[in-house]
Amino acid sequence: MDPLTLLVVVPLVAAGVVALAPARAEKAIRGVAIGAGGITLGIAAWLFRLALTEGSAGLAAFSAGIPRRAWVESVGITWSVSADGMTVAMVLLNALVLFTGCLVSSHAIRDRVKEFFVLFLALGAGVFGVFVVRDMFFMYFAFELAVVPMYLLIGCWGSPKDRDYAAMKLTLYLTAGALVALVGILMLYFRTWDFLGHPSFHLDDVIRAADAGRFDNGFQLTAFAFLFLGFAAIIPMWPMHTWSPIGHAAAPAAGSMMHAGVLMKLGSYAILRVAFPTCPAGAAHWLPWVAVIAMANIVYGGYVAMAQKDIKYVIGFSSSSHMGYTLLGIASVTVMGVSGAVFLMFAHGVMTALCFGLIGFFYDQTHTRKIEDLGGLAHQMPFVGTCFAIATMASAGVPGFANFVSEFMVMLGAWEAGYTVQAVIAVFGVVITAVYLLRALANVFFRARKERWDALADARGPFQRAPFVVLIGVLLFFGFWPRPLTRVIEAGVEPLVAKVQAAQAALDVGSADDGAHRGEDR
Amino acid sequence: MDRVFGEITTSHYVVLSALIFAVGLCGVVTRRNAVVILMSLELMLNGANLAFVAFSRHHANLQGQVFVFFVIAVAAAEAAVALAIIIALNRVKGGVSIDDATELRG
Amino acid sequence: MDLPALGYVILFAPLLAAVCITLFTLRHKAVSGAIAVLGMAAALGANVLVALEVFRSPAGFVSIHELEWLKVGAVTIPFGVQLDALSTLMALVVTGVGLCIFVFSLGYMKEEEGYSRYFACLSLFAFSMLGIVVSTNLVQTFIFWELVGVSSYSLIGYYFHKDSAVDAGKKAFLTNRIGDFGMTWGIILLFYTLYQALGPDQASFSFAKLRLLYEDEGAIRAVMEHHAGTLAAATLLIFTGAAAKSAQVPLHVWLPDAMEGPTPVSALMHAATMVAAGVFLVSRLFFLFAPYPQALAVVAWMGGITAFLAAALAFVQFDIKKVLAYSTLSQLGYMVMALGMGSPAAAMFHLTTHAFFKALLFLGSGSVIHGCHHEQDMRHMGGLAKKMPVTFWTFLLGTGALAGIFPLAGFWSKDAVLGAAHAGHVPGAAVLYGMGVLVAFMTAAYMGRCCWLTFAGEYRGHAHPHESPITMTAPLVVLAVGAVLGGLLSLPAGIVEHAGWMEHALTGVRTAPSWFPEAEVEHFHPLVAGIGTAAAFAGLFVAWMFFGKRAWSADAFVARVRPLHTLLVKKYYFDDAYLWLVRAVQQRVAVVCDFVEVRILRWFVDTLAAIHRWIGGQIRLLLDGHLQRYVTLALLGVVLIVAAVLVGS
Repeated sequence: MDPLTLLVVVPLVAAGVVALAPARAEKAIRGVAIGAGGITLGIAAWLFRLALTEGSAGLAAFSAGIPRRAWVESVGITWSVSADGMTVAMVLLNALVLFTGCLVSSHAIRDRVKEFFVLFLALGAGVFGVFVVRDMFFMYFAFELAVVPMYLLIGCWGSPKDRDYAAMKLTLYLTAGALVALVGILMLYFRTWDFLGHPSFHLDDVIRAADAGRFDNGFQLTAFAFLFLGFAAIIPMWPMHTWSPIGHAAAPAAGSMMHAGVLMKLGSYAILRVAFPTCPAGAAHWLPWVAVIAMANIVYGGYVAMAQKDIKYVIGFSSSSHMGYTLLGIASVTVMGVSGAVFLMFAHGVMTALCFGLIGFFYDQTHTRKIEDLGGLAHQMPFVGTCFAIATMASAGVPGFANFVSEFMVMLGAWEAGYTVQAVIAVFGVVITAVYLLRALANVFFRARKERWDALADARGPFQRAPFVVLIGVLLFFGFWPRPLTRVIEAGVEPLVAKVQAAQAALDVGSADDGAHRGEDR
Repeated sequence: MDRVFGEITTSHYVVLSALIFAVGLCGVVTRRNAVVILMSLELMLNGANLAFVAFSRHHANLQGQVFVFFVIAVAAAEAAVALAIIIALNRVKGGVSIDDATELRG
Repeated sequence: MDLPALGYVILFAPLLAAVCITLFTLRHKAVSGAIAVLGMAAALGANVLVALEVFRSPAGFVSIHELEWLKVGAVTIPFGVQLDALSTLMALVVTGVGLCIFVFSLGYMKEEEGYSRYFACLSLFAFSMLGIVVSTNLVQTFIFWELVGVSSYSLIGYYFHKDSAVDAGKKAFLTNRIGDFGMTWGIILLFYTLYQALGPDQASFSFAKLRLLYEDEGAIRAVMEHHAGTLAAATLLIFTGAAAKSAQVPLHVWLPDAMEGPTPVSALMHAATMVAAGVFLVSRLFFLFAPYPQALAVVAWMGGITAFLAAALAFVQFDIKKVLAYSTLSQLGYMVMALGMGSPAAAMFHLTTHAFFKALLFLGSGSVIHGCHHEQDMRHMGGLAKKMPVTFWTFLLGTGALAGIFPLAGFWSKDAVLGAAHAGHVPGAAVLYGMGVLVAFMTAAYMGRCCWLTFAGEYRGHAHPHESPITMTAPLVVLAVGAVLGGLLSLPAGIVEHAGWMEHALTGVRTAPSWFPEAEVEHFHPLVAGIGTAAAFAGLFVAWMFFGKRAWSADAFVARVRPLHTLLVKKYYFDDAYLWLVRAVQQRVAVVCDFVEVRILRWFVDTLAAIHRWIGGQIRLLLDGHLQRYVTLALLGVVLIVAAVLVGS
């Protein structure tokens, strides 16, 4: 079996093993889950090394070497996986979050351990699936495979107050988004069928049809709109974001880590992987609007975060604010901007996983997330406090962390694309971010000691500290030395961007011609 | 006989099967006793079976007859499960009236 | 070792110390302190070796070593070390004064709980600062610029249980963030303007390359023809960053509050390093400013106004550290004014001497505070001269240097600044020069007030003041030597034959493009020096009349200028204005956004869901649990469909 398929299979098999294990064998269950996370992390690291040493040509050759397996020939569904630079970055992210999420949950989850890990591993498998498969049907399928466990994770292990509402809202939004995108996928599918003479959900076939000019501009505008709107609900783009903060807030620690860290990235990833190469003209037409909406994400998300009284909501809204940068980067359609967006997806995933892991750590003991109730926690938990301060700084875009590099790249890209106003607002967004994050940090961890929290225990021992240390290490490493990751990402992004840029140029020429004609008419 | 009824064609069988099915359906819709409903259900199935067999002969192939065997097997299983449920219903409610079993209302 | 390697040692030695402390020695106080001091000493040692090499080389010597840090498309961002006269001088100030402060901290922080954390943060801070100094390009500078902000946040908020310290840290960070906002914008604007005008090959973030670009007058003039406004705007935006770090009005509000940090931190940040970064950056980028007289005028006026406003504020402070804080603001204004007058050399000279005597004064005040058991209010001091002789004498020397008394270091550097102002050509240069002289008078006066209140008369407090231990007094003495002899670094050329190696070094500081007319550097103008000295003595005299001899009553004077006094006590209402901005504007926007979120967006979605739920509820009524009704309904459906099909066909 090829390594990419293994990424999906390993967590699934582990989930199966856990499901068959007796519920009492909690230790073994945790061991299996962490082991599976470790294996996927190993595979992801191997992939990353491959991408680094062999470059994009090596990755392409590696992907080409993996055979397609027909699944349902009559409708053209095949099991086919491939990896480009973006995939490698995202797979690495998911493996990191899965692994650290297992570590965090191994002491945070006390009841129904077995069920939790079954679902959590299935979730991980689903996300891996979306990242690696090349077949649009399986992409959709894997996405649903990720959403359903998420629903159960929030509904069963979430914080009691709002979990029902949150789980339902999240599921409805994600499913609805996926359905809208499915309309776009089916549009592509039937056109491709016309072109090929036989049905195929395979992206390469769709792209061949697109390259052959079978998707006229009008078709692309519609198809891209469906694909983008569907996937944008997952990012989440303003104003379709309301499911996300409450979903973050209600989920258990590992759930939030997975949700904010990886699940939200599926949307932007799918846009880049599916919508960009198949509907470049659609992208060229719609993306300037997206650049404007991205501002709403950044500024509005930031200000709403400022008004929150619940620490998880603060981070939740900050996530939707940060996703504005991703959108802006994608909308810029420059190698710099899109690479920055993908890099930001990675960096934000790691950072936010760290944040939610830490919040979960103290929430399990305090049972409150209200900022005013907390305060001075650094006295009782210096290690967690330090880590949270670091996470805050990373989130606020302080240099030395990967987030800074990626946000800076997005700004450069936006400027290069001529979105000057947006770039300035994006830079200003960094100031807003600092305001609410520092406020939250100070009010939760600093200030006078509260006796009420004297019984809290800090993270002790390598086992409890490991997940946080790993995530911080990754953030710092790519913050100080971003070159390896950006090189890998850039190689994956470049052909996509080139395609859309060509379409942009064609559109410009077209409209210039129109203008010329109109001028002649007059 | 032939002079009275003429040749018995496939249509006759089909009409008969429709009638049996309709009788069964009426029973299912109108009767209150769970056992009678079950019997009416069997009647419906057998109505369908008759149509299968008739068409099987009409088209001169065996597919319809194979289906009938399946239906009979399923009907047997269904009867077993349904009777078990009815017995359970009798224990809980003290009767087999279908009107008592409305726990699953929306 | 070759120069770049030494440069990396300077940069990474403190970082290594910080990492070691964080990872291994958090529980071992003594070891942590030793590691931090060792790291700093290593940096200083490497620095001295570099200095020997650099200052012996001909003027304009530069050693650059760069790695490719980030490369996407046609844009490359390098990372490396640039060693020339400017960075070497600045690094010497940072490591030299820094080492004194590290050693001082060993004693001062002895009883603190987070001793190791303190030294880790301090080392991190030194690393960030040195990163700015040796940086080769704008982005690298920006990276360390922000890191300085972060590490200062951790140091100012060191006493994280105190609300005031936490808030001060936050304020410093956010104010600097606003400056950084301008700076990011400026850097990007500058880069892409050149990128579009000259093509991807010419545009660069590198100082050296940019400088080279600006050397070509024709090319730059050609760019300016189309983008004059853009380039000037970019330059001024970059200056916003410098203004925030160097605490220029109106971005100065964080500095006085930052005194919440431990005193050595104040000495490090607010004398030698962080606040000097802005001045350093403008010196480094002077070639950007040079072609724009308007930009220079903005810089000069900003400096002059800051110098004046801050000096006035120092009069109404009773906290000894706050006096020094406002004095720092005022002196920074001096330096920025010199920059605006086109004389980075004078600014850097004053920066260097100021680093010595201001660090000395801060550490002296720290020694006083330590001796008085953490009393900072000068009204509860007095008569400390006899009880803390070493502190007293060194503090006095520092005061003299700050006031600009001949022949202490401050005299020479202040003279250089005033000379630059005297010869400057910006609009209103004469007014600025007058303000400079006035500030010299005020500086002497408030420092005199501070000295007399603290050291003269009878002790008014309740503690038992005592002299500080040797780890604290030794750095004082070292710095005092610097404060006395610092002027030797750059004796004006006219006075002695060989003007000292610094004269030579500062030639390298001149970073204006060579086609730019050289600023007229006054080579010791007796009149300027005389007026400056007279102002200083007049200031001291006034202070003596009020607080020494007490011939004049300060209270009576205050009563006569009540509105002015209130204005000063309220710090010109800057803080109130910002507070209003935060509370009334920013928070209100946040509340409005939250309203939109909850009452409109979420309401809309929830209502949509509610409508469906209602429809579902209505349909539910049909499903009452009677199986037979379901069957009937299904039957009805079948009939309807069949009917529809029949009718349709």
